[in-house]
Amino acid sequence: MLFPTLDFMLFFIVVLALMVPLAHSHGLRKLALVAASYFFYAQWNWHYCLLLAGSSVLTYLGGIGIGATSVQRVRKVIVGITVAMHLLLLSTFKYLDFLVGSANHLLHAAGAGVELPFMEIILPVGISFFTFHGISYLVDVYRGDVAVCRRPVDIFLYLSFFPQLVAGPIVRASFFLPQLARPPAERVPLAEPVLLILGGLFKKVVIATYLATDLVDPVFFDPSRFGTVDLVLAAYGYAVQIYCDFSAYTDMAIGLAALLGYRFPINFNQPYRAQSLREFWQRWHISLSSWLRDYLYKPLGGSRGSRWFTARNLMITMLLGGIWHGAAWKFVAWGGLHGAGLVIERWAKPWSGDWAHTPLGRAVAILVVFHIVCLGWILFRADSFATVVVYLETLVRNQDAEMQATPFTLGLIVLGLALHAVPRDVPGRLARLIGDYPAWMWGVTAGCAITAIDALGPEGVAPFIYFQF
Amino acid sequence: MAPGVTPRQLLGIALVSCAVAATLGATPLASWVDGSIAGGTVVQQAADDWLALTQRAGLDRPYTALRQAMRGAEAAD
Repeated sequence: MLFPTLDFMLFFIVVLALMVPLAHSHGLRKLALVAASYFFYAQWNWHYCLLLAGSSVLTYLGGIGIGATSVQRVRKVIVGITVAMHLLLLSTFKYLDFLVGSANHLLHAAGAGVELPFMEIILPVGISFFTFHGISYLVDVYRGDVAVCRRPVDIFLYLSFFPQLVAGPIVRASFFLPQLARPPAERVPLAEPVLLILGGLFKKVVIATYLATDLVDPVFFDPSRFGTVDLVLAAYGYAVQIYCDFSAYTDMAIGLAALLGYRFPINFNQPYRAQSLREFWQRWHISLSSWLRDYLYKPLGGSRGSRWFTARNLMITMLLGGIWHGAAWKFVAWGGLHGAGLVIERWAKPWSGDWAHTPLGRAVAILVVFHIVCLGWILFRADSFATVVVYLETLVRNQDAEMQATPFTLGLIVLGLALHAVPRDVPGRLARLIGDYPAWMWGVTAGCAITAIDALGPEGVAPFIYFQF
Repeated sequence: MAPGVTPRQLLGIALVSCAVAATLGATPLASWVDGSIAGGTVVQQAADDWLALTQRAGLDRPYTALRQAMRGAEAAD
């Protein structure tokens, strides 16, 4: 059930209708949201609701166990076991067939006449996200950053809350659970969430979908057929597509949660204006990069050691961050590219000089970082390493070919970059400007806007890119 | 912070927006219903009848015009 569909619209109206009689029953309201979230998740495959429930039970019991003792060694054992169990679930459902495939490649290369059987497990949508939620809670309880949650419904809602269930943002337990501990405000904000949802719809349905169908998908399907200009524009196009796709999902998730009375953290902050890869990761998928920083990079030792020690930690973090995105070596390579870039950047910093702080230096830095990120997106988007090699070879060969890119797709890239340049507080400022708009007019305006966005977009809507992670 | 709304008002706003979208967007509504969990012979027939009604009233024109303009921009290369 995708956000930009009639099914989701009907589902959300039922949820809003449920919230009316439950407005003053805090506990029942949360229970209804858990039931709605499981219904939402069951639309993909109801069997995986059991996995989600199992993950929630594990998280709840783990937290209770950690809170039940003050003996540090026992707490450490419990957090170790429960986090390992979360990772085991994730590995089994997401990486087992990938490992089998990789082992079979090695066996084949070694000339062994045997092949391991594939388990053919269908990836449960959103498993990477709810697993990270569970781990975040357990580690935060262990560290004392969040109180033990003794209400199972809160943990079930924290892991399953439908706006963020399948593609984030990854909301920290310390950010979300306190919101569940108290009744939500009697009045929810309207203008800003509606603007976020409509803006997200436009970015996804119009920009991301057209760029995918008219430029990116055809070029990446067979890059050998295209010329340098198309290949460059398809890389730019994918950079805009993935931003408009993923940030759209996040905007809609933040807006939907706000309409239900809950706050989510921001996940994007103009990532393509970063002047370094480090800054890029402070602006792109912020909830994941800060999760990796706090639960992986820092526990590994962070930058508290020699420069080689820091480089090792950066590489481990980015390689694992890469494979988090998908069970394929190309994602490992993508993580490796970013990791290597971060290491080089750190080592080169003392030689960057004052020039880097001039307007021209900053502009050059933005351009360089954007192109490194685009190079990474080629790895990320291509079906295989072979496609990446063909893509890059054809790119430098400069062959004659019929153009795939058009003024229309070029316009979409420019429009996407223009929307990306809009400061993240603009919806809030706009909301304050038009906050006095009568409530019923919001209904008319939203209805007109939804219709217009559908008319502007192509037929059908592809799943969000981050659903596969 | 902009003034907020109660859950009851929010439901009302959502229903108004659906009614407006269903009136001005009756053209895609019929195909949406086709692939929707709300789909079914009776609902589908109702969506088709609703589309015919809005077309007679000319309410589908803004949607069609916008769609044709976008298709024109896409094809004009």
